[in-house]
Amino acid sequence: MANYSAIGSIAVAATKTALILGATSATRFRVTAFSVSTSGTPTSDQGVEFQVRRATALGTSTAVTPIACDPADPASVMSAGSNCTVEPTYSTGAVLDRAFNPRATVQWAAYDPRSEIVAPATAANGIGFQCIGAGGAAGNFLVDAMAIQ
Amino acid sequence: MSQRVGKAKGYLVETGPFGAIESETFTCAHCNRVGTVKNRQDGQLLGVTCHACFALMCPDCARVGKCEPFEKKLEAIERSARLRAVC
Repeated sequence: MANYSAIGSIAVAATKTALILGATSATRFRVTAFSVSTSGTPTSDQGVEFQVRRATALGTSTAVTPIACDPADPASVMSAGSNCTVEPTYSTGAVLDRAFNPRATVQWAAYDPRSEIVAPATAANGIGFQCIGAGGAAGNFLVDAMAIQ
Repeated sequence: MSQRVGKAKGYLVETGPFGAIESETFTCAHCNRVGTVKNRQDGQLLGVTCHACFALMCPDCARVGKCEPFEKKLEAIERSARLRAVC
């Protein structure tokens, strides 16, 4: 399995997706780690809420090329998009829901294969990182994710 | 409780102005949702072990009362997409 990194951002606002990872019918991908933060000077300490969600349609975004962590690995089959102008269609609920101080950085990593967040090998399915509530954050909502396929 | 923490399989850290908050996480084997293991959390609130697949599951999946591993759900999604493509 090869490891890939994808980075996304969007101006902080409620229900806006900063990064969407898309599967194809060729292969599943598994999110192994991600990091979330904001870039501006916060206006207050009110928490920023974000969710990691499953998508059944990928919406419209700026294409991002996932970068292979090992340069010898082939190009990623998984797609990635940043700064969604049309939100993906999400399944109800979330894989992970978290609020954090706008001055903070949140990092998550799975250290067991059974803990990874898996997307089915189905076209237009994927996993999105959506800002749910802006809180006191300003600037951009930044996400970087690592995935294997 | 300590047994469950030992089986937590993820790690979450929030680094902020007031220091770092570290938490163990576990991923539900039935819905793939990531749950945070809070410090000294009551085991009843954290989740339970499925006695069919012997994996941790979240309280919502525990209430369903049957073993539906997430792998089977993924296979069902993929199968239905393939069928739609054929039809």
